[in-house]
Amino acid sequence: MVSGRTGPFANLCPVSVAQTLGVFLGIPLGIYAAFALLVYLPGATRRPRYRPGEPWPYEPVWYAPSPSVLDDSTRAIVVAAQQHRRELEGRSLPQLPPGSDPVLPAAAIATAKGGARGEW
Amino acid sequence: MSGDADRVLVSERYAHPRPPSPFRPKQLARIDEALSMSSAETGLYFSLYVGALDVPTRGHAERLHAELGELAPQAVVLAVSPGQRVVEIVTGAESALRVPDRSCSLAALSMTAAFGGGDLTGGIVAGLRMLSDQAGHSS
Repeated sequence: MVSGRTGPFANLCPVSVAQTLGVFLGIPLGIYAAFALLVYLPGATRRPRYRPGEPWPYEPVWYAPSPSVLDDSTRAIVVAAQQHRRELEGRSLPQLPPGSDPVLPAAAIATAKGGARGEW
Repeated sequence: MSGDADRVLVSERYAHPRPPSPFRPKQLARIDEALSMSSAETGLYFSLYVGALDVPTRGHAERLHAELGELAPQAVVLAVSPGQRVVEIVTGAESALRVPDRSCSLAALSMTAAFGGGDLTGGIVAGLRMLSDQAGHSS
């Protein structure tokens, strides 16, 4: 006998309020929190997926193939162009809208010979 | 309220440590592989622009192509503007012979089909694959 009680509850040990709250409140809340974390954490770290019709908030990017896979003559041109660009980097050039090249006069644009256009 | 007039707000330009890329690393790897493989197989120079295009978009895409300078004759520029829902394919003197306009239209069609479903990476990879298949191997 832990306490001096008699009757049907004589074998039960007394539980404090803190223990009761811990079992009936703390554990369920902990389970809820664990599931919420599992549900929302992957979405919070992921980039939003593109949906047609939404604005595009990112800076323009221009991807080029890796120079290591190009044939020799093409690679030579790429390397020379990179070197030229590095030389230009030190100088201060006027801020131009994206897509324009200070080196290239507007009249020289005649390299495009064909292609296509698509909209969605 | 009048006391707020002499309050000076000092804000500094917040420089993002690394501007966020529109693509996840895995998607970037797929795009990089598609660009490099199609360029290596065909001997053409495939490059991909993703971002806003000045109106008229065709003119901007052709300017991008011209910026490639000595590479322009063998270059194929894919310019994708997800915000404007436009894709432009530009070919040069040599690449236009290898990839006729009909094939470019077909590639653009397959790209826009994927883009319309929200799959940017898939559309880009599919378009590059179709263009490089049409160009064939370099002699």
